Amino acid sequence: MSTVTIPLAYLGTAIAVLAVACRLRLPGTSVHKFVLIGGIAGCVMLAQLYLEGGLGSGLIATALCYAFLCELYIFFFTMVGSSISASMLLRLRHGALPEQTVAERYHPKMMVEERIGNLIQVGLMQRTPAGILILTPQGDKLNSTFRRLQLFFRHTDPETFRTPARGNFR
Amino acid sequence: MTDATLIAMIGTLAYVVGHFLAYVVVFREWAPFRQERWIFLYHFVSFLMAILAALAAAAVTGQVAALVGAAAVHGIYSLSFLELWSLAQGGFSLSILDRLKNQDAEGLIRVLAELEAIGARKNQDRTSGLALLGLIRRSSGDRLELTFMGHVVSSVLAGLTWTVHGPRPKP
Repeated sequence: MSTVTIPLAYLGTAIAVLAVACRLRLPGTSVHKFVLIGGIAGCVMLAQLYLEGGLGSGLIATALCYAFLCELYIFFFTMVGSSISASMLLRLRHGALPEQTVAERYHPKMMVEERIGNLIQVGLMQRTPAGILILTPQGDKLNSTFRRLQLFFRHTDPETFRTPARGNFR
Repeated sequence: MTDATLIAMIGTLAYVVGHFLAYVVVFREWAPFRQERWIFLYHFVSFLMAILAALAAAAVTGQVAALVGAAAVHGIYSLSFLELWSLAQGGFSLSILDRLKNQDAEGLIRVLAELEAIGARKNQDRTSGLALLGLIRRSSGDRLELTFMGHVVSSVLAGLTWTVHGPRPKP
């Protein structure tokens, strides 16, 4: 059972340290902070396991379990941060709301503005003095990568190169 | 005994490579596999099969690590695949990046209107989707409220939010 309990204990520790780090307002996104903290915790875990039992398949299984748990945690906390559905569930937690209020809060215009604001904040877009929105080199690179992924997953018709925009997991 | 764990992990790795190649060569060209329901089932059923095989191996050898290692290998593969698939399919921020690229002032107005239309459609899908999942319901006076399951999920989300954003949900 240590193959599961040890990674869980290290993940719990990494999350606790992340919670402190996020409140200290250190530079970097939550994902960057978790990758750093989780990576250090993972290295400490591997060192402990190696010193206790040497290199073996048990150590590899434990390391993989830790990596999976970390990926799952990153997936969930980034989903909570970016998903409108998650945001809606969190809002309704404080009590029922009129459908109209919910519709106003998540008005498409506001959603688009909020996302553009986030994209500018993380350095993927910028607004020119003329008010035009342009992609930064980083944004352009990310966009190209996802265009290739769209083609790979066949979300985009290679002939027309148009994207059918539908719901996703988030 | 230790070899059983290694064999389970290498076997699962070979299996997920085959699973991925089957998608690349055959299934990605099939229209149903462009829908999230089918792509999710493709991974979920495969994950269950891998777990059952690893469970059998663990029962024979008594090595829980074989089961954990196999589950982790498949879990990392499926989660990474589904995350990329989902983002490439319809991530809203990525749609914004894509559509706003190289737009002049006139184009910008048109694209923003298109994005708002996408947002409106997503809003419609979102409310009905959450209701379909049994997480929210309409109460009297056209009010939206959480179901019991919705409260459970919302509490888990609040816990996750707390770890990175503090007690208040990100607006």
